[in-house]
Amino acid sequence: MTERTGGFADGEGGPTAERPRSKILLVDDRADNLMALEAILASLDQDLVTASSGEEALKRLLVDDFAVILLDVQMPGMDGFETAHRIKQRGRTRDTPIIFLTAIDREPHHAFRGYAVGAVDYIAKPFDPWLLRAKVSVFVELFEKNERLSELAHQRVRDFDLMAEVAERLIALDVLLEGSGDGTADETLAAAGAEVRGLVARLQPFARSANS
Amino acid sequence: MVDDDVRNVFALTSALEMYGMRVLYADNGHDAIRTLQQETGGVHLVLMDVMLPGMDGNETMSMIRDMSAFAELPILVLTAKAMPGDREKSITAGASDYITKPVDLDHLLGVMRSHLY
Repeated sequence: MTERTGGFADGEGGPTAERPRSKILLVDDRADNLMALEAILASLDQDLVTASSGEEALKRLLVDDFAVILLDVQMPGMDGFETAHRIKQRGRTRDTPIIFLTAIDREPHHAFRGYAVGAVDYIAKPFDPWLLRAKVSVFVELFEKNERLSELAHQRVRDFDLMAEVAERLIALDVLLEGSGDGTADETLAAAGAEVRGLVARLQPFARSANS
Repeated sequence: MVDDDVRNVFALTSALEMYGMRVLYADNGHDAIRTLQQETGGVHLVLMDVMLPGMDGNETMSMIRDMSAFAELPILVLTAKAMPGDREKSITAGASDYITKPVDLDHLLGVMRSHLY
């Protein structure tokens, strides 16, 4: 098995120094399993956050957003299925992908239960390190794309708000000039000038060359 | 939200988030105080469980009230055990209000509203 990991994680932009790292949540009650997961995923160069129980995983999820969750099924206390069920009931974490990890010799219906609760993937132990790393990379890349999309969507909302404001002020200006018969020419000119200056101030940041 | 019992808190947090609130979480008193001090936007209200590991909710509230910046911060105590005298202890420690678990969401929202507006 080769140890190559680059293709998925780097994305089309290639690695950049200031790229914000995504968080990956690793949940297993056994410390040696967590260490193995950390070793396998270290080369992805993301923030690996560990939790040793379902309860601790939920606490981590209350504090941070994660790109993907690797969740052991068999844990004492709150098991993987109950943990996943709670994660799926919360709006903020509902869409966070979950990869269930379980021993291969356990009951086969576990896989079905995993999908039913809303997990997007399922890996049986002992798992192929390369396969796990590749799957996690895909979800990290998806998460980062969604983050960028969400930022673009916010920008678009801000642009529309500005356009609406400018349109309203132009209409107000038009109304002012239409009704110019009511006041003196000087008054109308002064009011129109104030409107135009307000618009210019609002749009100044968008000018290609800064005019004073 | 300061509560060690994440089973209850996760669902409650989810419900509050559905009402558009941003919920910051701490499972112990020290982290709660650190979160209060670090949150640049400011925290508008605290939901505090009394039974916390280490420093309990009442001690945490006393420490928060000792800081002048948080003298007026609404702190609602949420607690499962309602023994005689508990309420008085929490009010003395600085609680703005006292709510017994299991939490009735509509009641909680009503109390939160009365302290926020």
